[in-house]
Formats: sequence, C-alpha cells, structure tokens
Amino acid sequence: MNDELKLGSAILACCCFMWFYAIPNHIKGPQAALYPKSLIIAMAMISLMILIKGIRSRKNGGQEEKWTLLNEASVKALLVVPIMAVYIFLIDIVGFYTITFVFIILFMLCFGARRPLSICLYSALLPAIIYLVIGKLLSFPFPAGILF
Amino acid sequence: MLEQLLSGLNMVLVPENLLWAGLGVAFGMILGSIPGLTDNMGIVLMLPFTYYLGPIAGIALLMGLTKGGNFGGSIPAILFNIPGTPQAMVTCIDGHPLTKQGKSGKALKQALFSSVMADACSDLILIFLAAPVAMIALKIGPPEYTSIIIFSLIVISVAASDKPLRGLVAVVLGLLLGTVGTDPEFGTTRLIFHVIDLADGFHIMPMVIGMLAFSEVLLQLEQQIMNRLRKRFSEIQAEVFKNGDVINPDYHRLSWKEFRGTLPTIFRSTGIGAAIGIIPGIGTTVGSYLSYIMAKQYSKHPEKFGNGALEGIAAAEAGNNAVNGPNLIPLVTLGIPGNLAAALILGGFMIKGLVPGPTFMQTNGDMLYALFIILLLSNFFTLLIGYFYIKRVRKVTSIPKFYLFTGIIVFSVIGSYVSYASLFDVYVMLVFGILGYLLTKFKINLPTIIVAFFLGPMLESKFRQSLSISGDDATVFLTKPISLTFLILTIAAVFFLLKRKKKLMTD
Amino acid sequence: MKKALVALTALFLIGGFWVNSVMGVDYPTKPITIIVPWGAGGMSNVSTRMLGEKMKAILGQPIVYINKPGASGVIGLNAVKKAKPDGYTIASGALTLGFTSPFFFDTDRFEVDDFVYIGSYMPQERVLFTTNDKPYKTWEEFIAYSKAHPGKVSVGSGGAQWALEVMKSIARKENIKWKYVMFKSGGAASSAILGGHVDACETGTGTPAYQSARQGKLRVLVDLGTEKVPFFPGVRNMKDLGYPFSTMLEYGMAMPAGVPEEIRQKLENALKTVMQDKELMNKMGETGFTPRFVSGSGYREIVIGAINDTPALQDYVKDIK
Repeated sequence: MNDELKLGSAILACCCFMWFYAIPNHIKGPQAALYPKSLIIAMAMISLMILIKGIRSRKNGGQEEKWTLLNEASVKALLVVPIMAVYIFLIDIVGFYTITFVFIILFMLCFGARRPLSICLYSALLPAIIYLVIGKLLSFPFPAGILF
Repeated sequence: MLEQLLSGLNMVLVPENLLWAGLGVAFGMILGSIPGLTDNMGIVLMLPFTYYLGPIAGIALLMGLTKGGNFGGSIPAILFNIPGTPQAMVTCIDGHPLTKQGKSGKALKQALFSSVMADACSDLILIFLAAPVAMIALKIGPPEYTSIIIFSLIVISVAASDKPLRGLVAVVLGLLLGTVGTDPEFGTTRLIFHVIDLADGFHIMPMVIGMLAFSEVLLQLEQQIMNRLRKRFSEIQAEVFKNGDVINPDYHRLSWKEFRGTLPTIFRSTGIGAAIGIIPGIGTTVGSYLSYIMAKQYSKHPEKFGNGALEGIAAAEAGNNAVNGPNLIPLVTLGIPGNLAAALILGGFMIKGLVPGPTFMQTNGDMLYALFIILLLSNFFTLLIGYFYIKRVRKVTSIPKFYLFTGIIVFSVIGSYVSYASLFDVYVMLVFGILGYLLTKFKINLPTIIVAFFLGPMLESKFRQSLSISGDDATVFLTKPISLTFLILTIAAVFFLLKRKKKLMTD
Repeated sequence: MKKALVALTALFLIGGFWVNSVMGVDYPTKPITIIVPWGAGGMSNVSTRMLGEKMKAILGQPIVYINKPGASGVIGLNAVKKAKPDGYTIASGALTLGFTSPFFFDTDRFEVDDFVYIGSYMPQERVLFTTNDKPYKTWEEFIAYSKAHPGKVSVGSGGAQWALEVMKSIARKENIKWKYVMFKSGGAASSAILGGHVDACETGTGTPAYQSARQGKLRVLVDLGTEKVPFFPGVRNMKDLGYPFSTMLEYGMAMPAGVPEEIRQKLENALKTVMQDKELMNKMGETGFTPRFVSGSGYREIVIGAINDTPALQDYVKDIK
C-alpha cells in the first residue's frame, strides 16, 4: 500500500463518518447543513482522485514508499503526547507553577538531558521567570489549584 | 493640517512615549521569537497596562508590540523552522534552508530589512491615502468578499504544494474545521458534539500553536531519536547547527548587492500586501502567501525558491508587513477595527472618551497624527532593536535541543491558555499538534490548512449573506464587477500555474 | 517559644474571626478578578474597565480583568458560576444577553439564582439604521415599503441573535417578509450598512454605524429596545410602538451564588458611588453609553424578565424564515 492509497482511504473514511453520523446528528436543519455537506462532497471527490492516482501508480509498479508513520523513533517521540495530556489535566488540580516545575524535569529527562544541575536550574528558572513576568508584572492569573 | 501635525508631534515626542514604544517593540520581539507565545498574547497581557498609561503612551506600547512581534515571529521560523507567529509561516520556506547552510545571519537581516521597509511604505499609504482607500473598502460587500476569498484560497492551494491534489485536501480540511461552532445565519451550534466550549469554533491561536509549534517539536524529536538510533546524532548536530559560528563570516553578512537584487520583490510584495490589507479580515498570512507565489512566478531563478532564496524571504516578509498599514484605514476613517490590534486601539481611545469615526480627523486630528507618528517611530525602533537582537539570538541555535523542546512545550501551553484563560484551548492545542504531525507525514501542507481555516468562516458567512441579500440568486457573483473580476482572475491564475507546473515537470 | 508562637497565632485567628463577625467582613484583602464574557474589542470590555478603574480606588485593591468570550457570553458566565463564592470573582458586561444565549445555542440554561447581583450600570439599545438615499424616512414608511416589496428588503443584524429574533417578531406582527442577514459583529454590520450592502441594519449604540448616524450619514428607523436612544430623543422604541417583544441588553455585574450578603452590599455601594462620578458619566455619555444605576435586586428582576421573555419570543417567531 502506498501513501496515496492510505491517505485516500483515510479521508474517505472520515467523509463517511461525517456524512452518515456527524451531520445528521449534530447539525440542525437542512439549510445549516448545506455548506458542510458540500464540503464533504468536495472532500470525497478529492479523496477518490487520490485513490485513483494511488491505484494507478501501484499498477505501474511505482516506487513503494516506505511507511514512516509508525517506527521505533516515532513511537518514542509520540510518548510526549500522553505526558502532555497528564500535564494539562493536572494544571487545574495542582496549580500551574508547581506542576510546570515537575513536568519540565520530566520532559527534559524524556528529551535526553542527563546533567542534574542543568535540569534543576532550567526547571526552577523557567517557572520563576514566567511567574515574575506574566504572573507578577502583568498580573495575569494562572490556575492556582491546591498548591500553587 | 500642518498645525495638527505639529501638535501631534508635540504629543508624541516626549521621553515617556519613546520609552513605551521601545519597550513595546522589544517585548513584542521577544514574545514573537518564542514559539508558542505570540504578539497577540502580548497585547492581551499588556492591555490592562495600556489603560493606566494615557492614550498616546498606551498606543505606542500596543503598536510597538505588534510591530516588534511581527518581525520577532520570523526569527524562530528562520532558525528552527518553527514560526513564532502565524504570519511567519511563509518565511520558513526559504529562511530555514539558509540556516541549514549556515547563513542564518543573512536570512535574518534580509527578513528584518524587508519587513521594516514594507511596513514603512504601508504606513505611508495609510497616512496619505486613507480617505480614498476607505471608499474602495466600503464598496467591498459580501459578494465581492466571497470572490476575493475564493481567489486567495484556490491560488494558494494550487501554488503552495507540489501536488495540487494535496493542496486541495488541505484547503477543504481547513474549511471543514472552520464549520465547527455556530451557524453564522441561524445562530444554532453545529458539529460541536455537545461541547459548549466549541460554540465559537476552534480558537485560532491554540490551533496555530499546535499545528506549527507543537507538531514541529514532535517531528524534530522523532528525527533526533532516529538519528541517535543510527548513531549519527553527533555528526548531524555538528553539521547543521554548529557551522553557523565557524565556516565563513561572509555567510552572515547581507551585501548591498544581494539586498538590491531583492528590491523589486519587496516593492511588488508591498503592493500585494497593501491591497490585501485594504480588505479588513483577509489577513497578513494571505498577504505573505500571495506575495511569495507572485515572487516565485516573476523570479529569474524559481528553482531556488524553497532552497534558501533571499527573494523568497523578502516576499514573505514584505507581503506580511505591508498588510498592517492599510488594515488600520477602516479604523481611522470609520472607527471599524480591521484586526485585533486595531480593535484594542479603538478600545483604548474609547476608554479615554474619544470615539474614532468619520469626523475624527476634524475633531481630534492631532490624535490621528500622533498615531501616524507612532507607527513610523515604532518602525524605526523595530529596525534598531531588531538589528541588535538578531546578532545575539542567532547563537541560540547551538544550545542543546532538550532546552529548546521543553521550552517550546511549556510556552505552547501558556500561549494557548492566555488568550481566553481556558484550559480547553490547551487540549485543543495538543490535538492539533498530533493532527499536524500526522498530516505532515502525508505531506499535506499545514499553512494552507491554517489559511483555509482562517478564511473559511468568513467565506461561508459572506457567501450566505450574498445569497440572503440577493434572495438566493447566485448570479449576484457575476453581476458585480469587482466580484466578476476576481472570479476570472481565479480561473486564469489556476490555468497559468498548472501549465507552468507541467512545464517544470517535463523539463 | 514554639508554644507561645502557636498561642499567638491562635489568638490572631480568633481575633480575626471576632473582628469579622462583629465589624462585618474584611473585604477585599486581595486583588479582585473581573471576568468579562466578551472579547477585548467590545463594549462590555470598554465599559467594565471604565468603571473598574474608579471602583479600584474605592475598594483599595487592584482589579484583574480577564476577557473570556465565547458562545455569546455563556463560556464566561459558566466560569463565574463555577468560581469560588468569596467575592473575588465578578462577571461584568451585558449579562442579560449571556443569560438568554443558552436558548439560542440550545445548551444548559442558567437559573436566576445561580448568581447574586451587584447591580446594573447601563442599558444598551439596539437601533435599526438605514442609509439616507432610501425612499423611506420613518418607521411607518419603512413598514409600508416592506409590505409593498415582500421578500425584497434586507435587514441585517450586528451579531445579536436576540435582536434578529425581535425583528422577526415585528415581521410576524406586521405580516411582512424580510430577508435576514447576520453579521459577525457590530463593526462588520456597520461597514455593510455604510456601504449600502443591506437595506437596513441593526447594531447597538456606540458602534461605528451609530456614530455615523450622529453625524447624519445614516438614518435611525427604530429602537428595538425599551429605553431611550442617546442623542436621538425622537426615536420610538418597541414599547412606544406596541410590539410584543424587545431586546433588553442590561450591562451589570454579578457573582456566583453563595457570596455573603455583606460583600455583595459593599460592592453594590461601590458601584453606586462610581455611578455618581460626574466626570466618568460624561465620558461614558460621549462614547454613546447611557449609564444608569440599578440596584442588585432590580437587576435580578431584569434578568428574570429577560429569561422569561425569550422562550415566548422563540415560540412566536418559529415559523418566520
């Protein structure tokens, strides 16, 4: 399967979801649905064209592009996403500055920092600067939570 | 007029105002150059401040912020391929390749000079042509808007991507993302899946930060891990990011000859940007995109575009900054704000009991001249501060990546949170980061999605307004001369661009 | 030493409570946050900050402003509703609009008693404008013209669903057929009417269209509210003309339910004092605002009226297209 085929079928699947589920259930009235519907039709047509292109290039024995979405490196890189979700979730509960301090340490370890001194300095300095400039000088309140 | 000009000068040229303008420029430039933070965020944060300052100093601070931030956004675009502000997206295309060649200094200078020059020209247009241009702007009603947006979208989608089909995917995807929120005509919610935070659609800032900053962190991180797996990491590091300081000092210089070569591009792009700026709401990103496309068409060396052409940087920067001057025209002539900065200036005036509007020139002409002088002054400050700033900031490329990535992540969270004080927006940023990562893998152009997302709601509402006004008669787009012109232009441009592309392919 | 310290702290705490209960509340002791449920460019923001500057001086604590726009006020009001009821979080702006928005968005509605009310500081009228070159000059002529040209006259709205629904109620009562055009904001609507792209268009007072009308570049047809339009004494409103529905945009301040009455009273007094500031009132009047103080209980009644009126209005116009 080449990129064209994957992209085309992914888009087509999304179009089907939109057409058969999202639009009938989450838009009120045919007039309001007209514009999203016409966009979906356009999208479906484009995805068909991409699919045709994909099939054609496969028949012609076109270059089998290497699938780069899932490999060891990308799985490791995408590990940031769940950490990030936890981080955002905890901001409101623990308090922005504290949780940012903790997660800077986590992120830095994740990204390959190994020297304790630089990790400590950065994780303490960054929130401190943010606090001084945005929190104090410009008096913008970040969520306080139970700690700070 | 002269009297008003002099009294305006008198109002502006006190040390306090100069100080605030300078501080605004410096602060804006720093914010703009940090991916995740934007000049708009600076404006939101600084707003309470401006109310204490008195109208002139407050406006000086705001204008300084926008001008400084506008240029600041180009710095990370050139250095890290991560635009600091959405309008710097196009600068990445040619700016970052130059950094890879070790010529970041040259790229930054080209960006600085082009943006300051275009900005100054556009301010002059604002000052001298405000009244006639405002008349043109009023002529642009819903049908005209519709055609102009269609023109921008189609031309950008066809020209921006090597594969026109993917360009179209990007455009339609952007438009679809723009349908989330509230129906512009009936006021009912749609496609929000019972999440009331989405009632106004996705906010542009978290989306842009996610797609441009966070997704780029993911991609670069993956690259870094991959290199480490192949045990070539140290070599890559040395090759890409260290040579900036060693090889050839000439690489960071921008010779007069090189700059002169880009002058025609700068002037053409200023014209395009200013024309876009007359129409409120179309925005800086479209200005820089269209300028870039035109520059590529006119260039003697189109093959250099994308590999570090100075003309590419010049076009992107000039086209983006030239939008700003004319964008203020509806504000000073009618009191209608054309962008966020203008809306805030309007608010700043009103809090002091001054109401910009049709007779503002007669009743408060000195204030208006003061505003103009501030514009030119902040421009000068941008040049001055920018010149020293880029000399220092260039060295940042050699710091270890974990500082950079961690910083960008934290700043992305802050940048998405601040505008609406909403954690929901931070989640939105995260989701768009992942989406941007996936789409980049499929070689779909993210800036095109953002432009389409930005213009989509406007396209829809203007399209439907046109039909409401005409009583569902679609010929309204063909009977209005300005509208018809743009529709014909669209067809001509697509034909021309595709032909050219085919020719390049067969060559 | 340690014991003494504990005892001393306890004494202070008890003393503090005692002072609180006898002398009323010790408020405010830290910065107050005002959430404006609309954007940084809008009228709610401008008016709130004008008043806030003066209130700050009376209360002796800084005020932090947060603009939290979204869903025509719903997002910001929700944030205030969920805030700690300690008197340090206040909602300010055209709150009645925010209370009615859930009806149009079809989302969870607010109850009147989700909030306690500090007071209101001004009504805002929605005004219908037209250009000078039109054959109709008065409201009656406009209605007559609309009847003679069914489906030909377009009326726009500057981003207020409420006002659009009121215009539909007029259309039903007069049995006329208009074309309705919705614009994103008062600014966008202003440029549409100034450019002559719609036949008539409504916006709030204070917008560019309103300022142009003051200079005679636009004509005022009618007031969709129930009060007076500043600088246009002769313009009649919905009540004068006997229409069943009207907009009631009332700018004011409210806090989450559960805030102690003493604090509410203190803030109401502060607002009342600010509203007697001559200089500020003149400045607001110049901008096109119509400052007018209404007490907290009065504002509550206005909110009840707005919330009760809206379902009836929606029901009345549901067949109008």
